[in-house]
Amino acid sequence: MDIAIRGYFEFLFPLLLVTWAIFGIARFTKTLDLIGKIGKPVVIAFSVLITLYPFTGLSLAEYLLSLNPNYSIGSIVFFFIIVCKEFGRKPLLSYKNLLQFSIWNVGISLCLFASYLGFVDFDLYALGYGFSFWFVVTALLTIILTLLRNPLSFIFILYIISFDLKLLYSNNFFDYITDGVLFLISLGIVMFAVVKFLILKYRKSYA
Amino acid sequence: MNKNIEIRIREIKRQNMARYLIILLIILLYLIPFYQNYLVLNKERSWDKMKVANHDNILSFSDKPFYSEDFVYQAKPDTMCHVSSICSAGNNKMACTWYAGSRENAEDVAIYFSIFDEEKASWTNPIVLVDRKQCSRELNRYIKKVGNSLIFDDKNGRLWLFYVSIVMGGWSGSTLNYKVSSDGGYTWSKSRKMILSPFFNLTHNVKNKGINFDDGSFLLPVYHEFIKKFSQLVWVRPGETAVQYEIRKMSREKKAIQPSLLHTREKDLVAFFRNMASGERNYILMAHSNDLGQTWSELNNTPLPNPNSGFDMIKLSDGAYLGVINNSFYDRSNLTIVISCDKGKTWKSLKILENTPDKRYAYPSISRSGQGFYHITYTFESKKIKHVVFNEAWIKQLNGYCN
Repeated sequence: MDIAIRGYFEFLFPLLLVTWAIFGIARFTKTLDLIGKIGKPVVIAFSVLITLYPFTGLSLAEYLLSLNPNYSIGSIVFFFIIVCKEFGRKPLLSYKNLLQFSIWNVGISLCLFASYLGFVDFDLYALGYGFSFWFVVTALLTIILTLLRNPLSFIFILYIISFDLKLLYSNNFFDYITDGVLFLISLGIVMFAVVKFLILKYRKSYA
Repeated sequence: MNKNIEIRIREIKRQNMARYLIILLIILLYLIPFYQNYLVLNKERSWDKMKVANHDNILSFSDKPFYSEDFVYQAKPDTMCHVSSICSAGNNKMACTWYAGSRENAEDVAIYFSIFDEEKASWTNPIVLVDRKQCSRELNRYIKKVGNSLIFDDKNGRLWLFYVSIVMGGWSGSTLNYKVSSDGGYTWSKSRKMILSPFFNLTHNVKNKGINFDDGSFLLPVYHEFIKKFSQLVWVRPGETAVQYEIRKMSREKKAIQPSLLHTREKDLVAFFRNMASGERNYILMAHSNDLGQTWSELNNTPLPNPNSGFDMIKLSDGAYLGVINNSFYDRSNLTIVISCDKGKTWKSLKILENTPDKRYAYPSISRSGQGFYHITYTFESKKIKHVVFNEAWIKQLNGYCN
């Protein structure tokens, strides 16, 4: 993949993140209702402007890329799904699927980070550079999800398509699957779900 | 009714067919990395298939013992300099980098560069190769500060500057960037970031030089300081449009960082590590690899003391290991050239370069020039970068040399 294409592709995550944040602010301040029908296109145009225009020498996208130079396909898909919610009546992923996706992200990230940061002996990250048994594992998971008609299978297919096309600067397959930001967001979603579940259980037992 | 069942059956068949097609697509997509790994890459550029470039045939042109000392750089008042790195720049020239600023980890730290001409025995005026603003401009990223640098010459005569940049925090927030020069250090490419870690790209730092492979790729020793301290090895593969990396762990247990790599024979490597363990008497650690650095043995103590300080090693033309170390358990007031004639089992002190109580002589870097001279640079009392040159004839006449 041409370096220039990667250079543009890396701005996708910051753009989606900022768009999501501005939609959130616009909804909270009821600005969207005030603007009317053109509200959503205006939000998108505004997001593109403040994400990509270098107001202080660097653009907001470049600041976000300074914190994490490699946002995974998982992160991009996650924010694409929640930004798409602003446009479609039916979300691309149900809450149940989103929770499944978050559990997957937390699980794989914990294993990967524990291995990479030296908490366990096994060097999992090294398996991501070339075809290894890890590729067989993800291929099998993708096939199983497809047979189960689980929409997460499309995300898994995107992992391998983007890896084959080398859309990211990293040449490690794990960097296409997860990253620190996705881990933290997914952990938040899983913890929220666990707390919600425990509260409901607690209420039921005392009802 | 039957018609409805038929339509339903046809619908299920169509859905199944679509699913089988998707599964076929998945298999094809995974066959691409399989094909690249086992059918294309393995033939040409697999880590297993690499051969270390041979530098051992470089002999000193002079039989007369030669030794000299000078200074590369004198820091301005109220500033310091540290972490020098030296390598051959071709045509009887040596390239040296270091950083200088108001203090370690300060925002005004810049990486300096100078070239030594062996014919004229003089250094060029130091220039700033990169500071945080230039780094930020070249990477289009926010950079708070820059730090350690390493200069390394690859098999194709290109100079590589690997240097640390930090967005937030201290050394544990460092990430690596590189610049390349194809004309002996006169012009440099823009900085590029290396993505080596899945967790916010944290963290990598450099100290000692790597090992060249025959095909122009090379091994770069790096170390990690976020939460745990350990060493890693990066196989850097320069391509036509991009540079690719693979990273492997060198150590897990113990706090072993700043590896100094030596090639012993064929696929065998030995690495010596700075020991950051707590405790009063720590030794330089050692590990072996017999697959060109993909896997490493457990760490063992060498007999060499290490006061939690950086050092460097090189292999002489006769196979002896030459090291420049702080020969003390307690501080960096002594800097000594040591030699091992039995592959690191025993060591002898050859020459005390510095020995002044309460002063600091640190972070030596050693490299051999095309003419067979050995060049050492190190931090001299935090204020200067000192340069020592000698040849093998000088080493051989010292007491303690292998005979």
